Amino acid sequence: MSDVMQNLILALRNIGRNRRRSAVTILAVAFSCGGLAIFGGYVSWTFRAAEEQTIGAYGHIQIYKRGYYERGTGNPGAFAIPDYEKLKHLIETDPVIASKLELVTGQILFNGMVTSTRTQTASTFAGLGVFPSEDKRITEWNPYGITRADQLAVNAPFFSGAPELDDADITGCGVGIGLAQVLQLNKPAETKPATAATAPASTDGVDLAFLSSQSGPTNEDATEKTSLDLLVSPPAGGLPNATSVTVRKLVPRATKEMEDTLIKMHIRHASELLFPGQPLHVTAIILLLKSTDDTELVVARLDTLFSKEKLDLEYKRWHEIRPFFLRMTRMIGLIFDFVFVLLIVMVAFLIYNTQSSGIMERLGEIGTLRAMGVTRIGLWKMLVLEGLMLGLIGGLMGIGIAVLGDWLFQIINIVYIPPSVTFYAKLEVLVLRNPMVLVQAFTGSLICAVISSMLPARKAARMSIVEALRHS
Amino acid sequence: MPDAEILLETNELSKEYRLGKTIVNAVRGVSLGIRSGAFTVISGPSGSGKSTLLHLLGCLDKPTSGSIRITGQDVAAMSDRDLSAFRAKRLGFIFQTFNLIPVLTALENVEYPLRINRVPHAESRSRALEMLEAVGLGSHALHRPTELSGGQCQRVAIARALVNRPDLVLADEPTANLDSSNGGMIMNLMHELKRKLKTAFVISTHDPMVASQAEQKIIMQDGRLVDNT
Repeated sequence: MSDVMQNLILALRNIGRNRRRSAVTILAVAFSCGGLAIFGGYVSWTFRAAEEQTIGAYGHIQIYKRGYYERGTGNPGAFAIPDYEKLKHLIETDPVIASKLELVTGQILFNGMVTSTRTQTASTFAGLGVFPSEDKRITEWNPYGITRADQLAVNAPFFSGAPELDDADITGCGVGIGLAQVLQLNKPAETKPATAATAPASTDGVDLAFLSSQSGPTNEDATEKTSLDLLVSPPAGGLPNATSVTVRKLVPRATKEMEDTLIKMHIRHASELLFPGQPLHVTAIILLLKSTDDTELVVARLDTLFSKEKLDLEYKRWHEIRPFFLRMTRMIGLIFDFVFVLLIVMVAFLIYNTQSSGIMERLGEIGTLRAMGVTRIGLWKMLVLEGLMLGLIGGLMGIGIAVLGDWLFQIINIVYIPPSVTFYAKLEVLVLRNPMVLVQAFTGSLICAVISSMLPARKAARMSIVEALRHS
Repeated sequence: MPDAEILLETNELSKEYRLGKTIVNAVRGVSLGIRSGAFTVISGPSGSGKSTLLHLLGCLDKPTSGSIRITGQDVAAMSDRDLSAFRAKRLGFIFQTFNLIPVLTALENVEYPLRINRVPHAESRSRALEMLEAVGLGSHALHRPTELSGGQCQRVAIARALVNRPDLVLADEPTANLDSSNGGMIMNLMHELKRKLKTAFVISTHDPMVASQAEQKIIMQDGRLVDNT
C-alpha cells in the first residue's frame, strides 16, 4: 500500500472520529456544492435559452448594406440589397464559411400603416418579409436541447394549428398578438359570435392566450377571412404602395416590442410591395450557424470576403442586434458570482471550524506524531489532506444532489412567463447538459476545503511539541 | 567512562521558561553522560525538572544554553527538520498515557515510525508484526487502542518505540498509569528488550520500583542534577 493511500485512509478515519461534526460539515459542503451546481445549471439555462431565443429571432449574423443599421430602417429602399441570390451563393460556397453554415436566408424589414376594414381599426406596423420555410428553420434552431415554448402543452393556444406562413401562400401573414389586440382582430364577426374559450394565462390584463386561440384550428371565426390592408411609402418616392394580406395566425413573438408591432409575411410579397416590378430585394442577409462558437470565425471571414470582393456591406452579430442579451447575462453572472462567494465563504468557515476543533482535540496526538519524527510540513500535509477529504466527500455528494436536482426539475415541469414575452417557458437546470457547472462547483468545494484547512493545519504544525504533549 | 561508550552527553544544559514576568529555571547547568545500552532512570520530586530534562534529551525541546550530543551529533544546533529526521531514526518514545493513535490498529501504530522512515510496506508490516509478537501482542495486531487494556496499550507503545531499532528510548513515567502488576510486567519487558536489542533506555519516574532497577541513576532537584551514579 502506498504512502498516499495510507495517508488517505488515515485522513478518512480521522474524519470519522467525530462523526456528527464531520457529517454536518460534509452535508454543508454537499448542499453548497449541489446548490451551486444547480444554480449554475439554472444560469446556464438562462444564458442558453436567451441565446436560442435571440438567434431564433435574428440568426447569428445579419449582413446589411453599409449604414443600414444606423439609418436604413426608415428608408429601406436606399439600403436594400438587390443582388441577394448572388451574395447568398458567394457565402454558401465560401470554403471557410460553408462548413459552419446551417442556413443563409434573406429578409426585408420595413414600416408602414395597417388597417382592418372589418374592425375599422388602424395602426403603424413593422413588416418583416421572410422565406417561410427558412424562417421556420431559424425559429426552431435548438442545439442545446432546451424545451422549446411550442413543445409545452400550456402554450398550445399560442402555437397549435397551421404554421404562421407557408411558402405557397404568398399573401398570408402572421400578426403579433399585441398588434392584433390594437387592431381588434379578436373581435368576432357580427354574424358568428366567437365560441368561449378557456384562457390559461393572462398578461398585462389582456387575455393573450384567448386572443391567440381565436386563430387556431378549433376557432377560426375571427381570422379565417380577415384581411389587412398594408400601406407603405415606396422607396423611390411617389405615391404610397398598398397591398392586402390575409391573416393566417396571431402569434406571440420573442420580444414584447415585436409582438406589438410585427407583421410577418412572405418575402416575395414584401419585395413586390416595396419594389414593385423589380427583382427580389432584401434588407438583410441572415446567417444561421451550426454553432454559436463559430460566430467570430465567420465574421472574420466575412471581413476578408467583403474586402476582397469590394462589397459595401456590414454585419452585426446576434448579441449586437439585441444588446439585452449581454446586459442580462452580465447581471445574472454577477448574481451567480455573489452567491458563489457567499456559499464558498460559508463552507470555508465551516471547514475551518471543523478542522480547528478536531486539531484542538488531538493536540496530544499531534505532539506524539511530531515526537516520532513527523516533520512540520508532513503534519501540515496530513491535516490539509483531512480537509481535502471533507471537500472531496462533500463535493461528490454535491454532484449527486445536483444530478438529482436536474432530474427533479425535468419531471416537476415548472413553467413561468419570462419577462418581455407572453408565452410560457419551462424552467430547466442544465447540469448534465452542461457538466462544466459540476466541474466548477466540485473544484470550488475542493479548493475551498483545502484553503480553509491550511490555517489550522499551520497552527498545529508550528506548535511546540512539549506544549502539544501536555494535552495527552 | 571511555568516549566510545558514551551515547549521549550534555554540557551545562539549561532551560528557562517565562511564565508571565517570572523566569522559571527548569533545568540548570546539567552535565551528564549516558552509555550505550544503559538503563538510566531520572528521578526526583515533582517540579524537579526531570520531565524537562527528558524532553531536552529527546530533542523535543531546545535548551536555553548548553549542548547535547547524541551519537556524537550536536542536536541543539540542528534545524527542526533535521531534528525530526534524527528523532525518527535514532530515538523512541514511551509516554505515561501511551499516546497511541486511536484510529490505527495496534499493528498500524507500531508500523507508523517505519512509515515515517519510508520503509517499504511489506517490510514495515512484517517488522511491526514481529515487534508486536515480541511484546506478546501478536494476536491483538488488528485491535484498536480502545479495545486494549492499559498494560496492553503500553506494550504496543513499547513496540512502537523500538520497532525502528533506535539508539535510545526515552520513557516518561511509563508505569504511572498502570497497576503494580502491569507496571512490573512492563519494566520486565523493557529490560528484556534492552538486553535483546542493546538499546539504551532513559526513564523518568517517581516509582521506587522503577528507580531500583536502574543501572544509572540521575536524581534531579530544583532543576539541578544532585546525583548521578
